[in-house]
Amino acid sequence: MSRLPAAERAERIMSIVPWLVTPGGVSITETCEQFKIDRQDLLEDLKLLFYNVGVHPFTPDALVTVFIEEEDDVVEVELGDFFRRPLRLGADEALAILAAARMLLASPDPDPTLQAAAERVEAALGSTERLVGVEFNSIDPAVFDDVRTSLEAGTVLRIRYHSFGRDELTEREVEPLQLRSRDGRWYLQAWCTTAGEHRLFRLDRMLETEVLGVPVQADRPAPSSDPFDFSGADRRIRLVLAPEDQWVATQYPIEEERTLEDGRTEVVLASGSDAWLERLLLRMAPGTEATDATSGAPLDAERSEAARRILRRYA
Amino acid sequence: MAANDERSSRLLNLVTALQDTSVPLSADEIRERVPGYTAGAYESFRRTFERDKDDLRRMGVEIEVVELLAQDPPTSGYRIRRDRYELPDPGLTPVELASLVAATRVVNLIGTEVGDPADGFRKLGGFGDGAADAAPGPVEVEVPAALVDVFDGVLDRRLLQFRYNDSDRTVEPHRVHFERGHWYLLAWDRSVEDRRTFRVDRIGGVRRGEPEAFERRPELGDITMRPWEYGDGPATEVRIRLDRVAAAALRSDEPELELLPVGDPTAGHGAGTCDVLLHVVDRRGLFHFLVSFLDRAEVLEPPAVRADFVGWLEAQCGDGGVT
Repeated sequence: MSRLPAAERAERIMSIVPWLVTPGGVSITETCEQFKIDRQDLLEDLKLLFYNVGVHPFTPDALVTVFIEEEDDVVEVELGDFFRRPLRLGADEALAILAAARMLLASPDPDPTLQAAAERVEAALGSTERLVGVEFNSIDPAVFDDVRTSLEAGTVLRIRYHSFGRDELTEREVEPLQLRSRDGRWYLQAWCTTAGEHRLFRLDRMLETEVLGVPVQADRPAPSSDPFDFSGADRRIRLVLAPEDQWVATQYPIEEERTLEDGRTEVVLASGSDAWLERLLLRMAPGTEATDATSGAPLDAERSEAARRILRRYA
Repeated sequence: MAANDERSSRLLNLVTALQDTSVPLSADEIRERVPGYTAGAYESFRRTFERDKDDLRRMGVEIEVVELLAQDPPTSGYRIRRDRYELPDPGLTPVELASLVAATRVVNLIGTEVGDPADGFRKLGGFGDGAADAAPGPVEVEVPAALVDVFDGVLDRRLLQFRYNDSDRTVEPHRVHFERGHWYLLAWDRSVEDRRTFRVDRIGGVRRGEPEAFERRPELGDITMRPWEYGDGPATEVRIRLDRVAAAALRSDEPELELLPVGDPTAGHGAGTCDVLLHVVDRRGLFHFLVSFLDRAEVLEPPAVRADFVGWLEAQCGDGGVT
């Protein structure tokens, strides 16, 4: 038997009891399974209700009636005009359930049962409008299918992949390990035979996929525990932000941040690839100073080279 | 009776007393009707009562305070409004419940304020049964600290006051929306009498008003997060040309935009090139978006925007100018 704090126990009782009020009673065993509650806990809760709860003046007709027939595995509850419905969902609980459902429904092959369930919960919360919206980057269903097929079959997957960070288009053969989603994007964690190491590949950047019949090799080294940890990147960039670039401090993963004497903000961030850095530099206002955090060298050359390369299209 | 049982019973009896009555009860009446309050001095009753009210509020039972003007002198009355307390039966089948439970197992909402879904499932009718569809893989989503308070406003139609970009806002919150790694709030901003979209992670110091303070506005429509559509000014139609790789990226990021294939799609060089027409309100937003494609994208028309973009890039070339 578990000891819950008094308030949590009262909440559990108010949540479950309305579901037990059925003429003829309900099965104790099924109720315990349905609500994932220990048999002893359930019976103790009901006894507490029976002996102690009711309304003024606590005459027999103003009390909760509970019949427990352990031998027949039946419990029957009769209430006065209270506890007839469960408590409303708290915002935190409603968010935990609805957001989880909407996240999965944003994947390329949503489950219609889950769709119906989420809509019923929203209706019970009193809204005909969508309360939680979720949009993931859309993925070609054929790509999603191939990734899942190769994962389930344990076979090699060939991908034409656009590395957004490096702005490179490559063809690779990868051994899929796990599909996972982080912050609205689907990734395949895989052993890349081209790079000879574990890599994360965004599904929305796979231009073509092909499931090869070749089984994956069993003896690859284990992947690092957190594939989303990019702090190992070796280059550090220092930016002294002009006021209009203040958004950088909230948009990018900042490693250091301080306010200079003149009130401007200085940030240090780990740089991804060259293409990543070029995009960042091109977006900075003229008043922002960008330097290599290690050497202190200004990054003006990188910036103007990137601008010139784009301008060639306009020559 | 053990102290723990006594407290649970007292909380339950407080709820039954406030649900069973048709008129709000004064503190004295509550003390009389709820066993557990009667013993001890009046001051200790008040302290216990206040703590119990807080406990109940935390579990979602809102106790309303009203002035009882008929009493002399007027005094505070307390009640629980059934329509605010009760969850209508959502009518979930065991299989539907199981699919929701499975969803909360694979989706990991990372944040301190996130509730325990188990508490919610007991209210919704249990944990269901039946095999739920296998989820494709673990899903991780960060939840900013203000999101639960903001969502409480959405659920109960409470006005929200908060700090945003160094100004104070009063808004009707209508929906929360997750896209591209961020949570947004779609709201009607009362200070400007217009719809606004807020990044939830930039919302600070949220204060919540009373429930049912406004009507939902279905006409607010969808949330706009396209960087070139921000703002209230007139829109210009801009034609952008994208190479195959950029077109594929845009198709994935913005599935609603129509991509117009250019030339012969089977041709070798330039195959997959597409044009897209954007309604641009914020030119700086457009430029920031364009450089995400580096030299894979080009502004074709109108000439004024093309020249503007070229000028913006030339300014970044330093003293050397264009070579």
